[in-house]
Amino acid sequence: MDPVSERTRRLTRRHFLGDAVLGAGSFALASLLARESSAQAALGMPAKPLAARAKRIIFLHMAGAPSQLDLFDPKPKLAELDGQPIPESFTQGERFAFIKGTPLILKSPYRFARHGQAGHEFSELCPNFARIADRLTVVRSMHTTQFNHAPAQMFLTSGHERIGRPSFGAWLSYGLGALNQDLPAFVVLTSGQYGPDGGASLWSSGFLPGVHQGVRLRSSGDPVLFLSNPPGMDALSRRRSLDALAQLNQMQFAQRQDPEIETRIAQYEMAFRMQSSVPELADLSQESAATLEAYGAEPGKQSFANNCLLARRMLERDVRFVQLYHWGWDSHGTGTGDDIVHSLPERCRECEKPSAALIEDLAQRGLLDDTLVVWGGEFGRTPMNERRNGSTFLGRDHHPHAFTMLLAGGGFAPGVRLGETDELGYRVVKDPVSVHDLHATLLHLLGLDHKRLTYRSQGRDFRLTDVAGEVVRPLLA
Amino acid sequence: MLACGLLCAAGLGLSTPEPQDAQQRPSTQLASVDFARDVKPILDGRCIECHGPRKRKGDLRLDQRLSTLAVVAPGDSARSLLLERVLSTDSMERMPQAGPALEPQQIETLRRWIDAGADWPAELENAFVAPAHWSYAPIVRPQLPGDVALFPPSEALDALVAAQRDKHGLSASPPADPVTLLRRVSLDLTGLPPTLARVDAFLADPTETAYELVVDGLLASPQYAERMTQWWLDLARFADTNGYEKDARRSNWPWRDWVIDAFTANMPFDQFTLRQIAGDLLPSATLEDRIATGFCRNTLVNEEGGTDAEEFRSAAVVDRTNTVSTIWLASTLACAQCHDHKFDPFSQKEYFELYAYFDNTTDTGNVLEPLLRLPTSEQARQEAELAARTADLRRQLAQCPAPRSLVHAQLVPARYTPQAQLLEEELQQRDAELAALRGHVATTLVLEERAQRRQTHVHLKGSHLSPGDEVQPGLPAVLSAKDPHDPADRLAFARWLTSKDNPLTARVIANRLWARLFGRGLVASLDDFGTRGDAPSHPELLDWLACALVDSGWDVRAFQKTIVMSATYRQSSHVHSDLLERDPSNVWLARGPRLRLEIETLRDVALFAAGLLNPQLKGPSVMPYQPDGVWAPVYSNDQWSNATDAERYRRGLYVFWRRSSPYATFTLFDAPSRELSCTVRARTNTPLQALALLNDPAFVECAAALGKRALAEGGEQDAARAAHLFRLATAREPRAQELDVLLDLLAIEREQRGGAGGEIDSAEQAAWTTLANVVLNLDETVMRN
Repeated sequence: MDPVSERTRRLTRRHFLGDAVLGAGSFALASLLARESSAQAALGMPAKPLAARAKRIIFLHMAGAPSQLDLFDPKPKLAELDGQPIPESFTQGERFAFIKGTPLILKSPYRFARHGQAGHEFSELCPNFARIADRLTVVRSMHTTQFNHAPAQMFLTSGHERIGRPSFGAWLSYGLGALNQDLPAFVVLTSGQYGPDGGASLWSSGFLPGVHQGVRLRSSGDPVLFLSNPPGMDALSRRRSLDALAQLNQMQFAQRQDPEIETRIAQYEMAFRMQSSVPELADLSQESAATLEAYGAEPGKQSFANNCLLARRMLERDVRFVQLYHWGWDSHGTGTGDDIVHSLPERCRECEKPSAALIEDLAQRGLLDDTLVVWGGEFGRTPMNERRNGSTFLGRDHHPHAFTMLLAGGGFAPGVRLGETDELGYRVVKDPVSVHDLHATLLHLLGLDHKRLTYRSQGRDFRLTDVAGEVVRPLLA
Repeated sequence: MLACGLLCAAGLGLSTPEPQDAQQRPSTQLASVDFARDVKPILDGRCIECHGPRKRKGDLRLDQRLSTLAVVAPGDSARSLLLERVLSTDSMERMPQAGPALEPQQIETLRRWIDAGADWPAELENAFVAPAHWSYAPIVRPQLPGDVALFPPSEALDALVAAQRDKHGLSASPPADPVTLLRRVSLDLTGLPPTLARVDAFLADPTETAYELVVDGLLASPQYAERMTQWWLDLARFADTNGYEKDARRSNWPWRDWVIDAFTANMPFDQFTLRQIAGDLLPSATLEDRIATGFCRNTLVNEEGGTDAEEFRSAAVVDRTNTVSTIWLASTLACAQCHDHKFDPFSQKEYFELYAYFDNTTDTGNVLEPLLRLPTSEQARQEAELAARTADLRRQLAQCPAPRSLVHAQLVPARYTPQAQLLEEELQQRDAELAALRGHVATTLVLEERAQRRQTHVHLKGSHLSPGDEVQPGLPAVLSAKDPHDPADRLAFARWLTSKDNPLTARVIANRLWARLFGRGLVASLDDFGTRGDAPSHPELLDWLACALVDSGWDVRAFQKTIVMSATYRQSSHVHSDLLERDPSNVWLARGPRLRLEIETLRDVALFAAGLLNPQLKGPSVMPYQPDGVWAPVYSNDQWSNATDAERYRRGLYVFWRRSSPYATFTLFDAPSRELSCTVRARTNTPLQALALLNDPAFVECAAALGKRALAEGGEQDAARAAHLFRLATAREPRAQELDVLLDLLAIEREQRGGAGGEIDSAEQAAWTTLANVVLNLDETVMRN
């Protein structure tokens, strides 16, 4: 083993914490944390042993899993063998979510072309990704361990298929703290007909202190739960009652001297600031017509486009981790509502333009340099037609062995394309990237060593990457 | 990892000599070092954890002579990497990495041992034997000093606390004032504040006798049982839904009511344990005993199509094993599910021997059965009546002359006689009534043992798809003095848990009950009594409490009475900067603890102060108000329907618990999802909590009712009304300057809202609601002081 890297590797959290100069966010974080967890709070303070390439991250999770074979990973062989049984060598010992019997190969109904200097291949369903091809880093060799939505989403989110581990955003909030004292560090937005299959567990703080859990910005009612004053109470009245509350709590502090009381006073003040900062954040009408047009956003509507624009407003305000979920990519082909001929193009229309607009907008505002963008689903889809109960609609079943992710921003090498799948797109044959590898790489770019970002629970140290994960160097600029 | 570094360094030129020449080196002139006496304790104590039989970091084992010679040059300490690394001042290089550096005399011992030839007697070739860990040692009642032994229990407790406190140069705080104490003990034992009548009575007579009467009254109340049940529900991961992706509703509340009944009856904790783990196996198991096993069925069920039932059955058995290990043994056995435990003496095989106790039940991973139907007596009567009537109708129909094809035909054929047609119509109606009635009968999830024993295997790498060796039910060796396969089944295992053969349960449960009242355990790691957990701050007190618990016949009520009667518990919780600096976590108990109330209690306190609380006990879970859109069920149209009647004012422990989306306000205050056992809730303090207490319509409703109550009950004067309001929330009279703040706020709110203060109109109501809203958000209200 190389002694130098060994030496670097042994720079433990404990050590660099001792030397680290605490950043601006640390005070807010410390005060957010309970007195009881102040030891953890100390561990959660900004501390950067590595040079961070990025400060923020936005994860665009396409819940249901988009078909890589119809969008990003063209396989001419599928057209050649369309309708024929897939060779048994591929499917021996395989378990599918829905496919029964010997499955038949399904070609993509879409044309692909190369785009940009990078020569990334996109199908005709992705004209906007095609336009910004040279900003994108493409990984065609993603693979996962789960083939049902909820566990696969949990895995992509928390590095573990079962519920109970902290999600990525919670780890980041714990590891780096908040950059903005008026907004939570980890915000979640959902769109589509339903929420993601994994539900609120996807933004859980797991065993980390509850303060790190994702705050879901709601698209109807209060953007943050209980943000609005009760009917009949205006901001002035709220201010007066908070002043009275602060005075009374001060008197209590003078009596009891418990610093928890001071923290409580500070939290009520932050709550008051959030009452103005969050609605201001959520108010899309402040955006120009051109911007709204670029995203396809319409103020007041529940849509992925609106969420992308909201996300940009959050990133501008230095929210650490913005997580978007859009439901509806589960193209089984049981009807027009979930096939690759009608439903898939519909999802692309909803998501593809705003996703590209977001990346361009971040670039124009100089935010892309230190913001990571991740776009993809929890697994891929089969090269075979699902034909559930003899359905004549075209669709693909869940496929954990190979799928594609798009990456952009802070520290990723634009234009790079990594990984290959076999001629049917069934398995990865070159440069496989696991979910843990992806997490390790993202943390690396955010200035955290995934092996050192740990939290003790149930008698041992846990990591986002469990006991696996390697930084995928070829993806880095 | 660190030894990798050692060996790398060795490869870079710090090579070690051959062992043979080593042994011919002459010994040095200094007094001789004995390996067994002087050196081995250092290696065992500070090195073996990483460079021993379990971790073998860098392939270096300092419990083995040959391996050790890779870093020791016998006779030449200057060329021995071991010494170089323990001496290093570079924190990356210095060994041991964990904990402080070795003491100078320890390093000197190592140096002299090496220079003297690094003698390592052959009989100690593989020498490491784990030292006995405190928690696995039998509990021995500590010898109390002389007269202390004669003290009443709570005073003996105080003496044991005082001994440690004195040692750390701290002194006890004065007793809390009577009102604070009364509110504290009421909240701790019942989860509700005292009524003002009780406050007044106690203030009039704040004596020892009066306090004891109060305590006895609280412990005997049904609200005590509710409070204890709320504690147990987190541990038992009780919820109203199945978990996983679908997370559909289940009915297991009869089990929750069983827990309430058990605490009401002060069921001894050993019986409480036995029935929940193996009530079904008791020789003459009653209906209640079977309901009690719902504890084990609080595991998740995955109803999604295409799931492998065995995968999720196995996950449920794993959860039962882990939950029992956590709650009763405070052991991180879960770590041994995939491999031998890295730190504690549990092998993977032992994990699956424990798992085997739970591996022989009939439940599967993807359906709710087995269920117990629990008709009320009225339902049972109706059911019998309807069943008799339908049977009679079928008999009559069968005797009708006309030909009939199907009893349940959609359309009655025209060729029926009019009489048969009437019978048929009634039959259909009665059948529908019977089905509806049966649909309303409560059910609960239970355990049932299989007739034929299921073979249990080790799951290689923790995967049920990779069976290893077959195992029989058995206890981990470190916990079993006798034959490890006695206890032989789940029933015997449940008995063993609270038997004197098990050193853990009494300590663990005593510690949990202590932590419930002090916010911190005598062993701070409530769930880890293993080698990685915290050592007890008061080992004698812990064992003394454990003995007291067992000797009382596991009387949980008496145990808690001992604690709340102690002077330790009754201390003031005021902090001083000196105290805070010297003992920030209050380990040495030189003050009473201040704790933020759990959210269920916080909600109950607001409802209680407002006079809204519905004291009804038990029954199906309820759905109080929560905002639209919070409850976003996946794959179903299941809706949260806000209760509009008095159900919405029921206590927090009855609130419907959906695992994938618990009650929104609860989640904001660190309530767990209840997918897994949760034995410690965090007590965070966040702005989202502030928003909830200020603006959640459920809390605002309480504020409005509290404001009204102050107007109705507080006399005619503003000051008296404001004081009454303040007391309803905090139990104490406001000080003059506090009252001034409230009255100033009242005046300006009244003015801003155009109220005159003369009559109680809506403006006046609103002003008082604002006041009540402030008081319900006071630090003092939110905390138990």
